[in-house]
Amino acid sequence: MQTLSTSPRPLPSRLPGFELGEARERLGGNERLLADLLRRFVAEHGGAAAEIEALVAAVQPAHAVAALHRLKGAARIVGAAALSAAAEAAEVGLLHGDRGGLPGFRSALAATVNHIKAALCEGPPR
Amino acid sequence: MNGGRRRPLLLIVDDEPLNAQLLSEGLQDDFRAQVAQSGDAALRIAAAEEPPDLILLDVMMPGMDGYEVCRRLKVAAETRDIPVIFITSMSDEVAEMRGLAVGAVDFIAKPVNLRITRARILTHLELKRTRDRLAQLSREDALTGIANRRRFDEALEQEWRRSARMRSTLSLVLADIDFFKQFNDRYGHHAGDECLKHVARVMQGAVRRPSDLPARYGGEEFVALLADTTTEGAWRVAEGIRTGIAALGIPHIDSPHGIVTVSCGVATLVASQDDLSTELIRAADRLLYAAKADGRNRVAS
Repeated sequence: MQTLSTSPRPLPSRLPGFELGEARERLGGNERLLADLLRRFVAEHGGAAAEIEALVAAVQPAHAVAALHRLKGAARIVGAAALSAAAEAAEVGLLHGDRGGLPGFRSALAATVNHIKAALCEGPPR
Repeated sequence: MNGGRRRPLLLIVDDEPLNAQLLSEGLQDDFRAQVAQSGDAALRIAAAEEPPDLILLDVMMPGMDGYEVCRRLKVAAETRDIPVIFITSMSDEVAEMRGLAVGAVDFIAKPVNLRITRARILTHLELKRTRDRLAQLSREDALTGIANRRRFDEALEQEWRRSARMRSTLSLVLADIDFFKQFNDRYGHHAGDECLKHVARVMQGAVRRPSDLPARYGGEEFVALLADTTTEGAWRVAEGIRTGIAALGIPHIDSPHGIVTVSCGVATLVASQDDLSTELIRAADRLLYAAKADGRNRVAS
């Protein structure tokens, strides 16, 4: 099976919920690097929602806030603007004891991961 | 810093793998990179055999944060001169001031822009190279390339204090080219300069230990500062200098020896807190005068 780093396939110019133009600008137009970072994002942070919800359930809100903060930063790197905003909303909510932002965060993360996989041609969009 | 064509080496310190990859992969055309995911790892890598030319340091890390890493880098002699650029999402002035206070040279905001990062890194590497070069030039004799008077004065002060503290012997060889004015008058200043360069090379070859410092003291006078060295040891070094220069066989028809020679005064002291380091120079100078009076091309100790 071919991997994308040996056989780069052009990334789409836009992805829903992403600001790819801004990310490309920051990466100096390095498409290969953008693809590598998108793949790395899924590998490192794709399962973050379950982890964060487990932390909240275990009454470790400080750890959950830190994890959301970290995810927000990672999402910004790849231009996942909608996810970054949802993570920030969930983070700010948790700081005030409000878990209301978590479902939105969970669905934003799922959507982001699906869009990335589709763009990298590693799985069909649902 | 490194004279070769090798790409400069960066140390990227970030616990976020995406950011570390973004920087190391995104900058790989211009720089080599090592990645540390924690402060501890960063300190270990920075002190390794090939130290990084510049460090990109994340402020927010679990465990030891970037401020503490930077503070420790700036305390250790082997890492204190490595420029540190902080990477931070905290774009507030307090964070920036705190970073500058612990010794950072610059800040880069997250999410990182590669072109800006690259430009800032190049600027700081260039500044570092210039600074290193100036520091080197200010301590080196322009003609001969060996240590100059300023570097010698610094080393003498340092070794004098150490000798007083440790009660160790400190020796100084003061070497002066015999009839150098006549040599210049006869053969010209270019030949004089060449002669000085030859003498400097012999001075360098005559000392053995890394702590020994040969230097040009001024004009046709050279010194060798020898820490932890007895009179006998210093005398051997001086004899090595004297015979080494005679062995060059540089013709000098206005000298009774027919060739370029040097006279040496060798002084050895254990420094005392009450005396100045110039005491050692004065003692060597007296002996040099005796060697000159005694017929030149000799060592007096």
